[in-house]
Amino acid sequence: MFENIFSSSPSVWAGLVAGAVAIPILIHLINLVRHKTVHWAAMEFLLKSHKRNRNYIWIKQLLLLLARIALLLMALVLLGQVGCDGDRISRLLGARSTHHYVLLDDSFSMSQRGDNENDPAAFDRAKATLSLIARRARDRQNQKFTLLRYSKVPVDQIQVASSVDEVNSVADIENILVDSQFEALLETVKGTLELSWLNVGIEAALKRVSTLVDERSDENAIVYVLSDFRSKDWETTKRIADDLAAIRGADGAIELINCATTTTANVAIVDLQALSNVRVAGTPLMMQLKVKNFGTDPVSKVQARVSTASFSQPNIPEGLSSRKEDLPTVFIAEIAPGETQTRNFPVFFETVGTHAVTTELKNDGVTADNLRHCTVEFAASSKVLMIDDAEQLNSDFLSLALSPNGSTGVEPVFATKDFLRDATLESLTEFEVIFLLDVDSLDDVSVRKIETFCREGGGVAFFAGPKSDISFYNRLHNDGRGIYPIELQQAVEITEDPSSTAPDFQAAIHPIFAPVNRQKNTLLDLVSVEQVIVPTRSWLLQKPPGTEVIASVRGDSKRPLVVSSALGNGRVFACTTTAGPVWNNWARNATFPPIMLLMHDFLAAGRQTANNQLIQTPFALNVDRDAFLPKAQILKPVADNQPREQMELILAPTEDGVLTNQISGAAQTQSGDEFDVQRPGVFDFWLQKSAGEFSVIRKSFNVDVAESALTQISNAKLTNQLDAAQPALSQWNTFNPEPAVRQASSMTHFFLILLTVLLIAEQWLAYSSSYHLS
Amino acid sequence: MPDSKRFLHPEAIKRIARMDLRARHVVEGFLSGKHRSPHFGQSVEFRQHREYAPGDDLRHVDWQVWARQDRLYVKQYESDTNMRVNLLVDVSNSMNYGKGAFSKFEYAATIAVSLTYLVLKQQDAIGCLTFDAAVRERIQTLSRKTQMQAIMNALQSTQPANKTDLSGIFKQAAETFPKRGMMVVVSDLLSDVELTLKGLRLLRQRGHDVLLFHVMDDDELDFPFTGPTRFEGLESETKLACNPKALREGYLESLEEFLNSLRRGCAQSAVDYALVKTSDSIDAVLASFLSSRMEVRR
Repeated sequence: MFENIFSSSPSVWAGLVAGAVAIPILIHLINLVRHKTVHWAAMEFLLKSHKRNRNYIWIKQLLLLLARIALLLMALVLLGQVGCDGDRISRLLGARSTHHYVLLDDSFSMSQRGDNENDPAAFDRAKATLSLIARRARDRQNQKFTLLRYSKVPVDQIQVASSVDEVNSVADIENILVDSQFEALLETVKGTLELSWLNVGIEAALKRVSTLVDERSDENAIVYVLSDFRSKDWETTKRIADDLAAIRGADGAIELINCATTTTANVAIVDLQALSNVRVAGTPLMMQLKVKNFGTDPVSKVQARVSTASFSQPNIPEGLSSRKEDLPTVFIAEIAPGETQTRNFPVFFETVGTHAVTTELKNDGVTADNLRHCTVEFAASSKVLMIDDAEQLNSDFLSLALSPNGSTGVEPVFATKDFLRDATLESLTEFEVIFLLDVDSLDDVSVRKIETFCREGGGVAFFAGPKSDISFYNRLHNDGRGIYPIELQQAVEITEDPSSTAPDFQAAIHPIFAPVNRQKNTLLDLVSVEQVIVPTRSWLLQKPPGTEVIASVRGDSKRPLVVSSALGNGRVFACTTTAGPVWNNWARNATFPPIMLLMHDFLAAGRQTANNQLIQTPFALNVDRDAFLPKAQILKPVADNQPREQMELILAPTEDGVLTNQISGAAQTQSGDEFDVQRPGVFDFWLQKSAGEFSVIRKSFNVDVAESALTQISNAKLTNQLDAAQPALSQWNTFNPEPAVRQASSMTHFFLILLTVLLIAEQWLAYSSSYHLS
Repeated sequence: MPDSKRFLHPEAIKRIARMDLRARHVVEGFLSGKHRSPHFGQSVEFRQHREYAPGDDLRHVDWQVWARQDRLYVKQYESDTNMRVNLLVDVSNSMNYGKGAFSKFEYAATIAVSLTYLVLKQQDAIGCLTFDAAVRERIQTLSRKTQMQAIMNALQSTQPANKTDLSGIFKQAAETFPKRGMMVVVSDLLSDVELTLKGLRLLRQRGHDVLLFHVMDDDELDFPFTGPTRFEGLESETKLACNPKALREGYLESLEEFLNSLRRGCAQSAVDYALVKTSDSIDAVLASFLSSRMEVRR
């Protein structure tokens, strides 16, 4: 109220000052008029005295008047100070009901400790500050308290205006009057507060509090933010600034309390993935580990412990067990600040099933990002369908390249084009890749099956040859909309060019050509290509989107050798020459097997789902409604070295014929059971088929390493960005639960003393001027 | 019906009755007796015996009666000198002031009536003159019992209203009362002090024994007022709005100066001066005053 008065306009100030001057004069004049009348006999003596003391009396009256004016002006200045000194906290703690809203950052970066191992974590400091805030409230009357953790408000509800009831459901403490019982309540709640494993910002929680402050306009509001104020969360603060400004606009105060120390070293595992897309039991699998230094100083001798957990395949979840094995530690000599180092290491699982690989760094500033899990599904083999003619000239060479001695895990299956015609779509899904080797043409049914196979993630590779029907392939091309990536024109012979020393097979930079990329004088240079089918001129002028020429004859773009494209989830290669030694001698070249294996691996990638599931991103468990019962058993990780916890989840049917449970990072309730994936680790979803047997989907969930960046935003920058909200910034150890004491300026004390002196002087003058009745 | 007894406070009269009023000076009288007379032995017609009272002249003791009855009686003669007492009572407007039980006028009137009773009881003559700027009423000096009623009626029928002119009144009294006697002035004397003293001196020069009761209200002596006050003159048009506390010191100084002048002037003129406050008990005042006169007489 005061602030509104004093900051509204200079004219208001002028009016108040004029009033302070005019009121004593008016009262003085009224006093003169309101005197009592005495009919007096001895007027002579009175007149004599009056004549003698007239000047003295006049001066005293004037002094009295000035003292009264000064008193009012001084009181005005003091009130003005209250409204304008920026210490809104002390003002808000006044007579009106005050609501303390505490937003507690429980993202995992709050686990950061100081340089000393015994230092408390930022989250522990935040909890200690909670008690100080409660003390501030407890020492005053009519104070209320609300505590809300960041992670308790779903991120996807940022834009949703929250009602009081919604906040009630997620707040740890909501709208509780601070009384003698409150301290015990707070201590109980503090005992239950734990850090989340989430990368979660303030936006959603702040939006809710902002709505509450707006709804509760009859209360003063003080919003405390207990956080570590990382740059990643506060650099772009448009939405935060708007919500804080809205709170400020509702006459609320904002206190930002930084509970973290200065940035400390933090090394995190940012990624753990299987490198190869061919994952076969009994075949080594290369894993890729990425470690990033989020600190400001280089770190050396980083060791990542690697372990695997291979799961047996019991019929029921209760019988689940895993065999853990430690692998050699991955060593990284040094990581520069901000740098990410990548290391590959092999893992080996003998049995079919989904197994887990875990890497772990030693503890540092933040521990949550030192652990990463990856689950990999291993099949008995990677089946490849090779469509060839009966002579199998091409397929023989190709199968030999893909599975020279059975150790690659690839299992070639030979068939003629009739197989495609007769096969069902389901039977095709057992293959990861289909190679079409110099197939002249296919019927429309087979084409549709291949296209569907590809759209659903299967890989398809076309090799041309003398039997290839150009018109058929152009129909497959279908002006760029079909599965075949090239519009062919005609087969041409490659004649020798004495003037050129360029190799016939010239590969571009591509994963499948990794063995020869950036290498000089490779064996691939010895490949001789005699004939290819060249594309049409129009295709050369305008290639379909996503189509890439990754190899060509002697670098001539008009004569592409290998073209890459994609259809749906699947990947497609088209080679304009033969796989076998008909139009070229590549099959007899030593580079053929590795490049074919890499091609197979590349094509098989479409079937692999991303294995970088974060605990806070939505995860959908979708299964066939006809094949499974609408009930799932979940085994979820709990604390370290503890057996996983089992719970039941009810799946709901959808119109698409699947059973689903949309699981997100936030807590979800299904039929009364609460399920959350807010802890990283390996989760099992056991589904029972209609026939009775169980099937398991095993998933790994990891923390979002975006939270690992510990760089803090500077106070100056924060103040600048949140200018409209005018927040009070403080460190956890400088937070003052008694703001009025600290904020009372020396000028305020001076004015108070002056006011007291003036009051005494005024009273003395009034007494001596006979204004006090005896 | 007017309360004609309101000035006769029984307690005051009772205490005064036990004493005799004594003139300090020899008063001319046609009756010899208690009062010394310049016309000694002119009249010898015996009238009555009276029991001896301390202070009586031993020459008038009837020794034959003493011899027979062993009691002391004095002889009184028909033509024994009588005391002539004249009351000059101020009824100016300033006498209207009073915040206590009595206004100054009421107080002065009570004194006057008390004295009348006393004088008449010892068969002396008494008269009365009320005045402000002029003589308002005059009662002849007689020793009749009806004087009491006449004086009381005169005081009762008077309502203070006008200004005072003390010097003029004293001059007029000196002319009006040619025979020497006792002049009892009851007034607040709020007038020019020099003129007042001049008038008193004139009375003394005519041979009058002058008694001066200076009646003042407590407020006038203490000036206890506080708070914004507007003073309006009772005998003038003067008005003054002021804060009394600021003027009190100066007021009391001026008052003290006035009183000192009065006391000094009265002493110089052999005028018995008594400052009485309206809060003082009247009987005590009279008793004290008459006692002091008797001391002087002895």
